[in-house]
Parts: sequence; C-alpha cells; structure tokens
Amino acid sequence: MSALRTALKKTGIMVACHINKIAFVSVLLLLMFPLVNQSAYTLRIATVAMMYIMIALSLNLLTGFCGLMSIGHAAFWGIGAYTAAILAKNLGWGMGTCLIASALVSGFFGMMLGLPVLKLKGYYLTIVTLGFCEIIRMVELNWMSLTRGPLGINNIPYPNLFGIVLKSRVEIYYIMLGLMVLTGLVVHSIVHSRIGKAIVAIREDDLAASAMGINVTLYKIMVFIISATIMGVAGGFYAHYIRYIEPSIFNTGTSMNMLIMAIFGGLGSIPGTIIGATILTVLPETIRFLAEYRNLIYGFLIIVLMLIKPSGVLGDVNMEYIKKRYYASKAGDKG
Amino acid sequence: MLFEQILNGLAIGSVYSLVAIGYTMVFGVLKLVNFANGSVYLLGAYFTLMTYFALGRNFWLCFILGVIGCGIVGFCLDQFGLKRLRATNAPRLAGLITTMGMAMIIDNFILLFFGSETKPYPNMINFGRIRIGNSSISSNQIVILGVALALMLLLSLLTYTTKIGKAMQCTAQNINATKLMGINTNLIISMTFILSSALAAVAGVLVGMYYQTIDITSGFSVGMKTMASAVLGGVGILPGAMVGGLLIGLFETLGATYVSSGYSNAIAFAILILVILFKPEGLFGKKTINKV
Amino acid sequence: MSTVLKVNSITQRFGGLVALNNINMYVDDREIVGIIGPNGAGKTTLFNIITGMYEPTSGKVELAGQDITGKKPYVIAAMGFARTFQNIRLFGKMSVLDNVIVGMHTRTKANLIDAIFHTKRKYREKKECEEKAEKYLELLNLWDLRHEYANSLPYGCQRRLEIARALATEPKLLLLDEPAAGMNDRETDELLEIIKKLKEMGKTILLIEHDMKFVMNICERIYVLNYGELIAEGTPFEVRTNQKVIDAYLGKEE
Repeated sequence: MSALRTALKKTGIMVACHINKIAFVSVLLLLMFPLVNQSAYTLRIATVAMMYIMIALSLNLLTGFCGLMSIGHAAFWGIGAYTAAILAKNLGWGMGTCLIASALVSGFFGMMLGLPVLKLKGYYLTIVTLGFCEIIRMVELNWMSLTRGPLGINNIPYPNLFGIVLKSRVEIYYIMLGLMVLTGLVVHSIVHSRIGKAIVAIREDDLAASAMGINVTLYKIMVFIISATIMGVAGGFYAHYIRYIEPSIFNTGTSMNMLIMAIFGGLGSIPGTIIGATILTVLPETIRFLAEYRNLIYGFLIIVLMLIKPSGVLGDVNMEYIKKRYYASKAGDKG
Repeated sequence: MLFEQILNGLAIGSVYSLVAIGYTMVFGVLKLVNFANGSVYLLGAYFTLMTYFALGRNFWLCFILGVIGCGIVGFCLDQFGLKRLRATNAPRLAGLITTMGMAMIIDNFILLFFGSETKPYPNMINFGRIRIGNSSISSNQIVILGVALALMLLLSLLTYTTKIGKAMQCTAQNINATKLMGINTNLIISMTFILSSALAAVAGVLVGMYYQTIDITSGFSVGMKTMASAVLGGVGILPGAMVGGLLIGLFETLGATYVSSGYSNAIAFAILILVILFKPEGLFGKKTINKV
Repeated sequence: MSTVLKVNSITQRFGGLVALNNINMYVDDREIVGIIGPNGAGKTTLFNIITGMYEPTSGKVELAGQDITGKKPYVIAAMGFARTFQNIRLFGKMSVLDNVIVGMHTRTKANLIDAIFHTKRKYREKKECEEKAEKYLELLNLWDLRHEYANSLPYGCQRRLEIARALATEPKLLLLDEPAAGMNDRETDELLEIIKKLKEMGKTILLIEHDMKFVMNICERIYVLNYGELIAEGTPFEVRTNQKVIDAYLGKEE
C-alpha cells in the first residue's frame, strides 16, 4: 500500500514537472488523430468530448476556482446555440461571426444576471441560475416567431468559415480542437495570473480577500461573464455541428450533467477537468448499458464522489505547487 | 370568478407551503438547500400510485404507505449521504451537490419505473361542488386546504410546544451548543428529513388527486416554486414558508387567469428572482450581521 | 508627525445593544498603539469599523486626513489599512507564498489582457511579487515553508503568515487583532521580536491584545475599552496605574 503511494507520488511529481510538455504532446496527438482514424463514429465522439471539455473548463473556472455554483449554465449554452442558429440561418452569417455573436450575447446575459445576483452571498446564485435556466427555456419555447418554439430550429447551415463551407467531419473536428485548445489556454492563463490568485482567494475566504483589497463582487461578475461567454461559444459551435436545436436540450438536467463533468475530474484542476469530461463523455457513448442508465449512474457517482473526495478525483492537486516543492527540496538538498 | 380563483390559488398554495416547509426546516438545521425535496414530492405521488395498483382497493392505506416510504427515503438521504459529510467536515458545496445527486437518482428511478408519459391519478376527495351565493367551490379545494392547514397547525404545535420541537430550534440556532447540551443532533436532523419528506409526499398525493393526472416533469416545477416560496417567506423561518407558499399559489393562479397561462411557471421564478434581488432575507427574515 | 488614523466619536449600535459609544482615538505615523479591554468590550468591532467591514451608526473614521467612513473594505485596504483576523482567515488551499502575493493585489496592475496575452508587464510583476513576498516571509521566519499549503501550517506560523500577508499590502497602518492569541511562550517571544523589527523598519501598528505583558512591552500608547466605552488612554505606565482600568479588570471593590 505504501509502495503504491510512493509510486503515485513519484508519478505525480514527474507529471507535474512536465505538464506543459504533456499538454503539448497531447495536442499534437489530437492533431494527428484524424490522419489515423477517420471513422465517423470516433470522430463524432472525439468532437463531442472536446466540446464538453470546453464546457467543463468554463464551469470549473466558476465553481472550482471561484467557488460559485451555477446549475443553469445550459441556459448560456442554449443562448449561444440559438444566437448562432438564428444568425446563420436567417442572415446567412459565417461561422466566425456567429461564434463571436454567440459569445457576446451569452456574455451579455451573464452580465445581466451576474450584476445583481453576485452582490449576494451564499446559495442565492445556485437558486437564481436554476430559475434563470427555466425562464430562458420558456422564452425559447414560447417565442415562436424567433425560435419556432418546441419545433426547434432545423437545417442550420453547415459551418461556413471565410466563405468556405466545411462539411466534412474532419474539418469540424479541427475547429472544435482549436476552440478547446484556445479555451484551455485562456483558462490556464487567467488562473495563473494575478487575477487568478484573487479568484482563488475569494473562493477560500471572501471576507479576507476583501480585506486584502480585492473587489470581490467585481471579480465574481468577471468570472461569471467569462464563463458564460465560453458557454456561448460552445453553444454556437454546437448549433453548427448538430444542425438541429430545440429548447428541451438546454434544461436544468443538462446543466447538472455539465456540472458533474466539471466536478468529477477535480475542482480547481485543469488537467482533472479535461480527464473527467473525457471519461464522462466517452464511456456512456461507447457502452450501451451506461447510456441507458446514464443519469442514474451520474447520480450515484456524484454522491459516492462527495463521500470519498468532495473536490473530485484530481481536486486539491495543484501541479504548480508540487513542482515548486520538488525543485525547492532539490535545491535544498544541494545547498 | 375572482373568489373562486382566490380559493383555487390558496388550495394550490397550501400544498406548496407543505413542500416549502421541507426546504425551510432542512435549511434551518443544516443551512443547506435540499434540492431533492421536489423529487421526493414526486416520489410520494408515484409511490402511492404504485402501491394502489399493486395492492388495490384501499387508497388511504396506500397513501400512508407512500408517506412512510418517502419518510424512509428522506432518512436515507441524510443517513447515507449528508451525515457522513457532516462527520468529515466536508465543504458546504459537497452537501448541495449530494442533494442534487439524490434528486437525479430519484427522478431517473421514477422515469425508469413509470415511464415519461402522463398517468391518470385517482381522485378520492371529490364529493361534488358546494354553492355559496352565485359561485361554487369544489370539495377538492376544501379538503386540500383543510388537510394542508391541519398539517401546518400540527407541525407548528410540534415545533413550538414539544421538547423535540425545542431541540429542533436549538439545532437550528447553534448545532455545536446543542450537541454540548446532550441533545442527539443527528437524530434531530434525521427527524427533520423524515418530516420534510413525509410532508412533501402528502403534498404530492394531494396535487395528484387534484389534477387527476401526474407526470414526471411536475416534480421539478413544484420543486422550483416551493423553493421560491421558502425564499419569499425567508429561508429557515417556518411561518415564512407557510405564507410564502400561499402567496406563490395565489400569484400563479391569478397570473395564469389574468396575464398569460403559457408563462405561469415563469411567474414563480420571476418572483423568486425579484425577492432575491430586493429583499434576499425574505418577507419574514431579518438582516443578519456577518460576524468577523 | 502626521496622523495616520483618526477615529471621531464613533458609535455602533446593534439593535438595542450599544457596542461602542462615542469613541475617539488617533494613531500617529510610526507609532505602536495597543487596544486592551475585557472580552466583549468592543475591540474587534472597532477594528471592523476602521477597516470598513461594519458601517458605524454615527461618527467618522479618517485615514491620513481623508474621510473613509462607509467605504468598502477593499477600498480601505487599497488606501492603506491592512488587518489580521482574530480567528485566522488564511487562504487555506493556496501556498504560503501565494497568500502573501494575494496581499500585493492592490500594488500590482496586471489585468485580464495581460493575463491572456502574457505581456511583459505580467512577467515583470510576477517576478517582483515573488521576490518581495519571499522577503516578507524571511522577515516572518516562514521562508522554509513557502510552498506549503497555508492550512497545513502549525498555528503559530498561521498567525505570522497573516501578518506577512497584511504587510504585503504595504499599509500605512497595520491592524493586528490578537496576534499572540493561542500562542505558547516561545511563539509569543518570537512574535515580540518580529514586531520590534517592524517598529525599527518604521511601520505603524495598532494592535488588540489580551496578553498584558505583551502590550506593556511593545506599545507606546494604550487605549482601554470596557463595555463599549473608552475608559482610559495613555502610556503603559499611566494605564497600569489607572483606577478605572484596575476596576474593569479586577472588579470594583464595594
């Protein structure tokens, strides 16, 4: 048992010291993946998994790093999807502009919701996001002239980038890969900056953070907007990719599943988020039995996880600290 | 017309109060929003229906079985999830997520067992309509209102006059001090969960009988509305939940009649958001000073 | 000598309870001032008002001549008051070094754009912060522990880390809320040395403390609070011999 633990610790240190290289190699492998495997099935799973990684990263920034819990984030995903779908179908906009519009509209809604609610402490955000998700769904359901209500929007145009129509699965795969890597970089940069430290400080103790000169409300709103924006982009992509959207996709159940993906891998851990979202997307897709009982199993999984390790599998594992501690101890040995 | 709508609103509202009490009681003792409460409400209705189909004949027996069953589910929720979290001093978020996990399990269990289609529900409380002046009211409404108010009265008596009720109040104020006074707080918390789940089950059956149909999505919307009721009255305050439930029922019924029925659910959510924005401590709540 | 903190007839009521009644006090630059008083005298409430956590019922707080009453805590922190907490409030899951770096938040400027595009300013600031933070940790004898999680530190170290974090905000006035509470004699002596060092560096400090020996040893002036009233002020000697203070601590002789 202790041997296993030492081995784990050693692997942990090794991974932590080379995490950048590992990330780089992973991206390279993902870039080469379609060259090796072009089956529609695997590419679809890979694309969806990457989209969920993007979503889980956005939620982890909010919940894992800032300690705010939203169970209505599917609403922002939906707002992004509807924005892109309507603009692409009715106005014939290209994918790039659609995604930017999705980001802006979702971010705007995030701001409108965040501005008043994030001044309050505690469980309010969770309840309000739940209500917000339902209200947005009802608007999508009832605003027939814009969203076609329960019929949904079908035949959304294929992604159109700078006038080139991208119909092949491989091209869509690469777009998603690009978006995911971009999201990963953005979230990583924010977390490892002055702002990131302030955000984590707010999670740890908001009162102490404000005593250190941190404008708690401002940062909470900022994180909420960033997170909503990322969700919007993911939604815009989803609309182009799946080409048919309807209101019931974007309900609270979806929000819950997304949140579980973010928590499972590890709150406050980017590698954890990526691994968690991948596992929770790929397994139900590939194992039939899991797909059928997916939500039931998710429910059990999350309860067991809370009992064993409430912060998720890789939660509380801070690669940066492991690395620094290792180098410090090495320097100490020499000196 | 208006009188009938008001009575209708109060009847539905009184059921909301029963569920809202569940949220408020649990929040009172644990400072935790129990997201599974709406699912337990639904489970109560389905469980009663299932035993009614299986055992037949005596609906009231099945009703009692359903309520007891939900009480046990509430107990398990605490026993196998939250109690252990308390023991390990897990972060607050973990408790919230656990109740959501429980809600997922119950919802999907119902879905797998009963399917997603709307089911007819037996009505045992329809004794015709009673005429008062030139308006008439159905016995359904009177029975529901009567049962709900009686239960609320009973619960108030339990909370404010008995020893166990006092222990509950103490636990809500300061759990550690209560423990030191030799009170088994885990037992009190379990009691709270059992009571709140049983109340939710009663509410589920009453609403099922009232509308004579039941479907899987109603758990979520009632859960939301009752959460709104609890917040409106002031979370953690028993009379607040009662009044909040009645108000939400009234707003909803009147809103559906005089504004638009398509958005009737949205009215409750809109009230919820407005309350949180303008008076987060609720109608009956007091502003708290946060201790440094 | 300029006045850093001036408290003008502050009164704080919580409902019917008068927590503080008409308090007047000041702290001059480079002074070390103590506030003492029995439990429940209103010392921490006073700190909370000075740092903006509570808004007083009436009265005024001035920072170097500027009225700061009713300003938000983060604004006051940026203007130059930094505090520690009686019941330690560190950022537990952050490293010791990062705790101190968070303290420098108001003295650094890197924004979202710097963060995302990794500008030169970001790197420069990061390096400066780390160097400065390590200096503060050396000062507080915490350097060896700089990469550990804050909540894994022993109690005495956590108290010192709170001071380091507050110092990192480069405050005009450092407010210490019972810095020696719960420490053993050896730890208290270590803390005493540190505060003496801070004094030599020219820091201005206002501290609440129960440990009489500690206060008498280090403070130039002392304010005594009892039941929300200011009952005495003066040098340690004056306070020690003040009849009102003796009564408050030992009980009145009938």
